[in-house]
Amino acid sequence: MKKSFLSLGLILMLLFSGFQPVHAEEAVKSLKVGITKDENGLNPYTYITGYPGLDLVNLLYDTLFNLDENNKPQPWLVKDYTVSEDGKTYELNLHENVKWHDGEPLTAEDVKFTMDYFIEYPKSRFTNPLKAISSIEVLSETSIKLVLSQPDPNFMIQPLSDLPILPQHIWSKVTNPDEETNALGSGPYKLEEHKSGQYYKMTSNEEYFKGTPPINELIFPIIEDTTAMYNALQAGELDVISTSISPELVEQFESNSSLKVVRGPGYSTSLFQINAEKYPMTETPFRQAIDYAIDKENIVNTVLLGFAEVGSPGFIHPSSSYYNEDLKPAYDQEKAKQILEAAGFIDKDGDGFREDQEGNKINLTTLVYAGNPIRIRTAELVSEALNEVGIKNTVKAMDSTTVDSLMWPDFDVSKGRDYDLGVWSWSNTMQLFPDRLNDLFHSDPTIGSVNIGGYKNEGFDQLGEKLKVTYDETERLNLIKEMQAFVADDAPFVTLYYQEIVNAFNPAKYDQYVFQVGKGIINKLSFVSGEKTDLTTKNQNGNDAKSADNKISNNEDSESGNNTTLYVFGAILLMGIIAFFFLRKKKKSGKNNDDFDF
Amino acid sequence: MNELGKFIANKLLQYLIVIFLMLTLNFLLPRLMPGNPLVFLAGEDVGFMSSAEKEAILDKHGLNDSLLQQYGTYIKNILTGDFGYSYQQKRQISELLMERLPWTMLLTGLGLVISTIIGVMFGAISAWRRGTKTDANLLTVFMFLSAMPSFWVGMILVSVFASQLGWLPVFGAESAWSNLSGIDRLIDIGEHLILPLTTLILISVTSTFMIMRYSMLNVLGEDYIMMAKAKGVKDKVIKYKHAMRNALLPVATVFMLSLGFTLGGATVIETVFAYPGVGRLMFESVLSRDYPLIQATFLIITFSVVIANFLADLIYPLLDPKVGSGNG
Repeated sequence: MKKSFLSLGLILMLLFSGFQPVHAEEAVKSLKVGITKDENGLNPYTYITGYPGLDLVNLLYDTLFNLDENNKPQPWLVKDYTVSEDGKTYELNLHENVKWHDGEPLTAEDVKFTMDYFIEYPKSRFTNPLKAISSIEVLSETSIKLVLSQPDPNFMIQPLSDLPILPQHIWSKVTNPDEETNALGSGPYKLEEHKSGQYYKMTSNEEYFKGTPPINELIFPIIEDTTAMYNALQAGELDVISTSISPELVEQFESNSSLKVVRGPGYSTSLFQINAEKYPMTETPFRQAIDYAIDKENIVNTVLLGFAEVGSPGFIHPSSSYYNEDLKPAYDQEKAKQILEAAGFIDKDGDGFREDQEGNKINLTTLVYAGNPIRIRTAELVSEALNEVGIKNTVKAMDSTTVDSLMWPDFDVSKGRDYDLGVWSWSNTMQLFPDRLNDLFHSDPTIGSVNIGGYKNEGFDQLGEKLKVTYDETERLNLIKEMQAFVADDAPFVTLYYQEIVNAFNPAKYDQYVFQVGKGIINKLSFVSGEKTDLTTKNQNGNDAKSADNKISNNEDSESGNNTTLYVFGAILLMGIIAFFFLRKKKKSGKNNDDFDF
Repeated sequence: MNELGKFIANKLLQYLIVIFLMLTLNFLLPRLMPGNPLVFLAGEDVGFMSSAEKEAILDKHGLNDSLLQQYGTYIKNILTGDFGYSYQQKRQISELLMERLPWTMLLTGLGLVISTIIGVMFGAISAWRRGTKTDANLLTVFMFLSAMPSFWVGMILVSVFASQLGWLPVFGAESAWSNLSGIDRLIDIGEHLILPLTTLILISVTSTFMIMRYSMLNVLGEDYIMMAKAKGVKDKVIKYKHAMRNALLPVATVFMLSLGFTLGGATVIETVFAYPGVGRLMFESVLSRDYPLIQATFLIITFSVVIANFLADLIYPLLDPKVGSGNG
């Protein structure tokens, strides 16, 4: 009885889904993954962006630990490990059978070499976290001891889950790593070919220590234009794309019966940045009023069509274990007006906009990237909201490099800033470490290295410094929550939203993707063998609340929307053909009498 | 001969001055834009670097030198044929260009030739039948084409012929990863070429059409056409030998000018179809403030426009005896 139920269920599932799921056991011959950027050489020194660059690098190289789908570090190259009670000594035992792509064994010497090498030839992302280590000792071929100068709560994430291990026998000869082109690692895939501006090709590493990867050949065509990328996925020329689907297109993708759509939390944080160094933004009530004036939920619903989470006033994402759940996003235009009145910002000349305490006019500019429609729309809505409470401001869209150079000259906050307000966004790594609150808001530019608002508050600085020397988890949690409350109250910037990641893929080709929170399905876990629940079943069971919307439908009316363009174009074409024949006919009949009538 | 020599020497001098001015502008413009290429030199975590580390990177690439020093290096490199190293692509620029230029030349060169032929043909027909319905219809069609933005045309073509009908590939210049060779590879390249080429022709054909039509109308109004007609010369002879040939001069000017720009590629079309040409490379280089790459790509265009102009100057006397020394 049970069996028949099960098979009935399976049949129903297949009927509804309309595709034959591919399971990890049968290797997929070739998978085409669309990426948006040429990332140059794929080694830890030459890739450009964290996304998709580092994700590709991670398919070629391995790290000691690896972040799982909830971003918790899990042993990877490391088989087992011990951490001393004082949190300063790490003893790591590596797997024995790990080999480089050229067949040489990967040993503890390689690990030590990599750490020394990144100190000698710095690469900011990997080098900085290594500075916590005071000594490295190779104990045996597969074990190594790391001693830290002081305990570091994030050590497992960075560097241990982030630092790609380099083969000593190759890199020991490299003295100019920025121009090194080799990409030989120990990872699940080998780089076979890179054609500038066109594609990368990887083949599976059959000797991989975690088992032969599920895909024989991975091809990454480079398509910069996202619309072209969406088209290629719709046309079946790509099997999955690295870009998140824009909110307005989700429905269209969901109605395509050969594609599957999954969604989940994204960690990229969009915010309304305030230059707290420039009057009147120096006044805390003025910033608080800005916060109250903005309806974040409205932005999420109208600009992102609900595909985002409303920003927490304390910056930290609600799905993080450090999130302060007591903080609620504020929106109250009346209160914004009251705060402004009380602080002396009153409309004295009756033009609808407030003047400052001395009666000088306030006229602010909101900067935004010109190439990003979502941010532009956000900026417009925020600007309208500010105008409504009497803060005069206009939106100015400029190319991204220009905006960067005004808001963050030379990417160095100690060099000052030249803007009033701006729509800004931090990438997902900022949410991985709650300690980044210090980077964001500490007034000392060597600590607050991304404090692009120039925010200063002694109270916050004290909390931040306390956090730097606190290692007890509960104490850390309390401190971080307190810091969030501080931020929420003082409004150095306004956290607007965390845009969700919406991924689409062709499940008939491959469906063993893993949705990593904050990152989506293009990550290392998706492309290695292992125990995986496929996203289809997972979503149907409702395990992943955010993926509830992912329907696969074969219903006919969904296709009609897709065909509209076809009909319109067909009609135009038909008219063209009729016109053509009409002209020809005319031409023939009038041949004798239409000459020289000028 | 002496006259011709003088003419060429004079032109050469003019062009040298133009080239020098362009070289200087080429150097200054990217540096006058706000922002610098630091993020591409330092990588994504640039915000977490110390000031000293950032300065070291700028030093290493000579970006902290005085403008005059940088200008000196730039001129020296150009004279020795060294385009330098791209900050963003982290490769020798000459290598990069060698990969991209053939694709661009294939696409834009072919586009230019075909759109010129079509434009000339229909321009002539339209002028020949001026005032008739054919003329009005052709004008309507070409005006309609000229009003459509290239990305829109490209997207419509993609969504119909690639996404919906699945007849043609959506992106790229070839399916290089399938290891095709010989005829198969040519067919593959051809298939990838159809949509971007069609887009390019659709949006660029109007200018040739309008110029040809206008120029032909002028010629048809000349006395010698009337004379020929009066003498009973056949329509075909008047049309092809007397009218069309003489009307081609302004078209040739536009053709030569466009020829100069072909190497710059068609940025928008290359973007829509993910075509690996120079246009896109140039666009990216500007966004990332990749000074050496901006300089190199703009230099190529400058040079080719200047050379095309120079060639046009040389060819004109052959096409039209009224231009040049005039004695011939």
